[in-house]
Amino acid sequence: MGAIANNIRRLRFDRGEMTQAELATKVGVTRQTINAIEQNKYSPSLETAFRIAEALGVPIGEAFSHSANG
Amino acid sequence: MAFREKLAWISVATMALVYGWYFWTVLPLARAGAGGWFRYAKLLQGTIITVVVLQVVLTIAVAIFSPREAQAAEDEREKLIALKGTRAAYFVLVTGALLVSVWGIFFGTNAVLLGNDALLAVVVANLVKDVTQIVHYRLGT
Repeated sequence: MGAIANNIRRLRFDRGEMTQAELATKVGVTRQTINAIEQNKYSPSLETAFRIAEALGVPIGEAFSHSANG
Repeated sequence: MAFREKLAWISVATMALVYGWYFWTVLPLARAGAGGWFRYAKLLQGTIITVVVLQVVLTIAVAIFSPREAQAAEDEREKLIALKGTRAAYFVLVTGALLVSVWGIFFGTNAVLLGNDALLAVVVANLVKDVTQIVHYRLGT
């Protein structure tokens, strides 16, 4: 199966400590969902992953990565 | 705490308290065959009205304190959590319906008892749905 990892926390930090709530508003999800994604507890849909990358101003491959070994 | 998790807590608390009192009162009477159907109908009517009023008042109170979350549509994770709750509740409801049916067929029942046992299955299924949702919200999944 593999696992999806992400760099959202670092990318938020790089953008002047953007809060989870600010990112959530830009993406159109709840703050709790951003928190769950950051902690790798929830894997977002492809559409939401693209929206997160867009909101952070990076290509999707920089925001998310996939490890085949899980 | 997410707005919809608060709603699940409201649902669990109000249903457990009010229906708990209802079944605690009614089931022993129904099993003993006491009272006419009108008495049970009045008790059930009061119970349903109490649950609805409590849930509406508490939901409005929670929405007043977090208006932005209250107006926002469910996001994909919240929809998934709702579906997980519904899935768990479905199995409980089917099991309850089967148990009520089998019990009625093999051991006999009356209309009041049958109706209340079926209602119990619905209430337990709803509680399982809400608790499942709360667990997923708490785990962050």
